[in-house]
Amino acid sequence: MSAGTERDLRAVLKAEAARATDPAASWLAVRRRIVRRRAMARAGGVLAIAAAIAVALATIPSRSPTTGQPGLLVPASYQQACVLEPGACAVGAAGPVPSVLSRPLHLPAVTRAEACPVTEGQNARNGYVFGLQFGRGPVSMIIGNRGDPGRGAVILGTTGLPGWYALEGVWLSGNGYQGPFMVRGQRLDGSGPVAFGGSAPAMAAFVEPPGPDANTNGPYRAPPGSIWIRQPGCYGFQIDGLSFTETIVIDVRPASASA
Amino acid sequence: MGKAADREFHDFVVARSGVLAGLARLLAADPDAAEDLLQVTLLRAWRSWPRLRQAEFPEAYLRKIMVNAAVSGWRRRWRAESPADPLPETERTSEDQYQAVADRDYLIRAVRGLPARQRAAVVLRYFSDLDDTEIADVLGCSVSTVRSQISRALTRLRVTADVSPLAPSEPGRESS
Repeated sequence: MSAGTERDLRAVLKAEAARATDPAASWLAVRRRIVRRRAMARAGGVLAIAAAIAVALATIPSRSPTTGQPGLLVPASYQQACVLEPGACAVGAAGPVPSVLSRPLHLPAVTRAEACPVTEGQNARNGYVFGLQFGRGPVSMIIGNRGDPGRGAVILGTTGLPGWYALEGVWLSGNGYQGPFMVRGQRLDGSGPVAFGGSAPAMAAFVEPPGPDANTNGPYRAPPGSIWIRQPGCYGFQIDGLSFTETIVIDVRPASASA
Repeated sequence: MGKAADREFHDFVVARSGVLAGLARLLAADPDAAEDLLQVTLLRAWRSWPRLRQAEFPEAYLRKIMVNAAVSGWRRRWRAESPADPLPETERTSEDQYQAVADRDYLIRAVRGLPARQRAAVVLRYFSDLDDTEIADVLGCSVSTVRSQISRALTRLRVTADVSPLAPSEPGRESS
C-alpha cells in the first residue's frame, strides 16, 4: 500500500505540525532562561575574579597528581553551581553542596613515558543518549566527540575560544541514583587546566544538584557536561556522589588523530 | 534590550510562534528536540531582535535561524544527540482500521529519518510552501542543490514510505 503522493506528504506534514507543543509554554521557558542569563551576567564580575584566582592556582606546578585540588573552585551552594552550569539545574535548586562530595582526589599518577591507564568504554546508542560512554555508574560520562571507547580514546573538538579545546557530552544518571554529584578533572601526564561549563570554560567543579534537572529525559538525568582543556593528553575525572566515588581516565587525542 | 522592544518581541512571538512551533516539530528528530529547537531559535532571535525588528518579514529570519540550527546540530552543545530510531518493521495490512493513522505515522518517521538538510528542504517546500529560490536562501546553497536535495529525499521516501510523485495532471506545486 502506498503512503501517498507528494500532495499527501504536504497534508501529513501540516497535520503533524499542528500537533506541536503550545508555543506559549516554550516562550515562558525561554523567558526563564533569559532571566537566568541576566543573573549570570550580573554575577559575571564576581566570576571573573574567581576564574582569575583559579587560573592562577592552575598554573602553580602540581604538588601531587594523586591528591589535592586540581585548581578547581568547588561551589559552596547549588545556587553558585547553577550560575556556572544552568543546564544542570532545575529552577529553584538551593542549599549547600554536601561536603562529602569533596572527597580527596584519587587519580592515578602517570608520567609522560607511561601509557595512559584508560577506562574502557563503549558506544552508547539508545533513545536517551548517543556517544562514547565511560564509567559503569551510577553516573556515566557520555562524550559526543569521535573516538575509540574500547581504547579509552577521545578525539578533541575545536571551539571558538583560542587556545581551548572541548569534549562535549553529558553526565548520565538513571533511576538508580537521583542524588547530587560532583565531577572534578585533572591532567595526569602533565600540567594544564581542566574546566567545565556550557558555553565557556569555568574553573570550577561540575556539580549536579539532587533530583530532576532541566535536561531530565524519562528516567534519566543528563546534564550537559562540556569539558574544556588546552592540550591533548591523559586526563582523569573523579565523580563523587553521596555514597560512591568513581574515577574515569581517558586518552584525549588531537583533532588530527584518527579514532 | 529596552522594555518596549522586549514587549514587541513578546507580542511577535505570541502571534507567530504557532507556525514556528510546527516547523520545529517537523525539523527536529522528536517532540522533545522540537521543544529545544524552538527555544534555541527564540533565544537567538531575542538576542538579535533590535536588528530583526527592522526587517520587513522577521518571521523569515526566525525560520532561517531555526533551519540553520537544525541542520548544524545545535543540540550537541548542551545535550547529547538522540538519533531517530530506525524505521520499525511495521506490519502494514490494508485491513487494519487504523491504516490511515499508521500510514501518516510511518511517513512522518520516514521524513524524520532523512538527513538533516534533505529533511529541511522537504519541510520548507511542503510545509512552509517556499519555492526553490526561497529554500536556497534559507539553506544558503544554490537552487540546483535544493532540487538535488529534494529529489534525493523523495527518492528515499519513495523507498522507505512509498511516496509517489504527483502525476503531471494533478494540481499542486511541481517538484522542479
